[in-house]
Amino acid sequence: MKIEWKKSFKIAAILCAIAGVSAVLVSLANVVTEPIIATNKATKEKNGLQKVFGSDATYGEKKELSDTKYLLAYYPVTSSLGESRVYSTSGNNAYGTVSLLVGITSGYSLYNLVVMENTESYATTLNENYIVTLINSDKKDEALNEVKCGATYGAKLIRDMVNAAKDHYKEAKA
Amino acid sequence: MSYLAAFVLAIISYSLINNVVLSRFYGICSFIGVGNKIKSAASMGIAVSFVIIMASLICYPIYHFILVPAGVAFLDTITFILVIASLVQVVGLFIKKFSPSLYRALGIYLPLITTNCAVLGVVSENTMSNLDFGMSMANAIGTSIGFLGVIIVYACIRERLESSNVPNAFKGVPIALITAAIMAMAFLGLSGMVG
Amino acid sequence: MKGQHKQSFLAGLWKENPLLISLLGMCPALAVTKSLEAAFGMGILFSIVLICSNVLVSLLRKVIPEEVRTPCYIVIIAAFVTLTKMFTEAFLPELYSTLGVFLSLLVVNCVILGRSEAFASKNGVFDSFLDGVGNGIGFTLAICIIAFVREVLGTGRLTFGTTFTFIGDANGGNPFIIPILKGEGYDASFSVFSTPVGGFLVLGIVLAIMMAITNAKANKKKVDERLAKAKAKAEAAAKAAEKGEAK
Repeated sequence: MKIEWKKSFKIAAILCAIAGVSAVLVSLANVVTEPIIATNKATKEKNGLQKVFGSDATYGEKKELSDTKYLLAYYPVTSSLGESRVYSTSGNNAYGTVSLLVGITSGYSLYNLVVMENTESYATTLNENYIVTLINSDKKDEALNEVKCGATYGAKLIRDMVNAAKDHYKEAKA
Repeated sequence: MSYLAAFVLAIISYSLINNVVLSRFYGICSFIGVGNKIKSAASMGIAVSFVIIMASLICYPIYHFILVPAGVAFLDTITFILVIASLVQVVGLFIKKFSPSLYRALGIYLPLITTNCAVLGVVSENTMSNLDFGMSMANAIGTSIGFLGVIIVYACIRERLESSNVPNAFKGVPIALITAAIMAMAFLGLSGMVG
Repeated sequence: MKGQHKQSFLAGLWKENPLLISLLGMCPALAVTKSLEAAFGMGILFSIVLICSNVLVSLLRKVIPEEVRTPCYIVIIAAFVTLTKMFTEAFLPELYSTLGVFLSLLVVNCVILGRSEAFASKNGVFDSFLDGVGNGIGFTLAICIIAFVREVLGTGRLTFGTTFTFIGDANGGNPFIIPILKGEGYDASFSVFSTPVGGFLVLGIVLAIMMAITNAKANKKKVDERLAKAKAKAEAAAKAAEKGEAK
């Protein structure tokens, strides 16, 4: 069989050219949009932080944590409730990543929780107020009622992350 | 929970609870299109399953060892669709060479698989949800089992529907969608099973 | 010539509506129609990708070799989808996270690829542009109808401002809610319509209604034709009789 080299070469060249031009265009767009996405994320974190203990509280410097499984960083907070902390946590399970801001009071109980990111494909029903009352009262059966497709893992992951934050605060104070 | 247990649970969950067609809505076009004959449905299901698993196997290293280190993770969609398109071509050639009879059975479905959302859907989901290699494969295997199972059951129901008397307006696709709705209702009952 | 332009614009809008008549692109029609806002956002992004890829494919229709037609179209569409994805993430982050993986899945959307193959590769740039606009609006309308039914029946109200946050910001930071089936003291919503089941059910019923309309139109046409024939026959007979009398 005779291969038509010239023709094949031309086809390959055109295909490569189209792919190359597309890649360059997309990269250019990325240069434009990347800083905007980064600022969006920063504002989102700032707004989320304000939501945890309200805007009256004073939020301190971010302190990075490195040697823990779920905890990324914490912010010391002083509010009408006294000294407390907001932990920035992120965890992974079989369905994706969940990132939370967890507010822990000086009595080591969960005060509030803000979902920053939830890439779990199906657990779009995470309800923040519901989780707070749930974890504080520790009623596991009700958690299962609220579960929709795959969110059981999410519920467990969130519980683990909140507990990790509580334990870390306890140890730091002790 | 050990990793193996999590792996098995994830397969069950991806195949039954978060079924690819009935709750994630991937691959509806081929589902409605070829789902009216059991034999063609089974052939399509097998071909799609194979491509889903192969694509996940190949795209994981490409994304994590080439695109991310090079800092061009945003080119993922373009890369994945090219990988899938060429994979389908290669699979087609391979089957043609080694089993002409299988090629005759699957041949006409092969070009359709490139544009089946289930393949690109699973691969994109793996990267968007930051799943590790094991869980990506669990997603791929679970999705394949789910697709194959549901498309065959659905074809069985539709073969029977063909001989029943359906109101004129509902003939064809509308009644097929209503059937899918009732199947989805049955699958909805499984949610919360894996805890 | 002008008629042809009008034709390419109007065809996708109603007569050959990609979702309701050609039955293509059901994947987003089921997946993102839980809320009207998300469906509208998806429709707009879909239209942008469709118009851009139609125009580019039409521009390059003489350059693209026949043998690798489909891969070329897919790469072009994938590039536009990635661009749209990036700009959505930057300027409408909430819409981006609501649509999630279905935004990437526009790459393999049968409507976009189908229009490239069937229309843009054979027609001029302006016609392809109009075809993209017509099909885009047609598709957006179709998924908005489904989303409207699902949101009203599933949640009992229409909520604006959770996906397009600027509506919420204009309303003082709260989403704008129109109660319909659920308000103070009454609740007649069926949450099943928010689940996948509702998606299949509503799409099935909407398609059946479309089919019924088409059938009725076809029937009416047949009946009209028959009536016209009978009338013509009667007239001819009357004329013949008149002639006979005159003789």
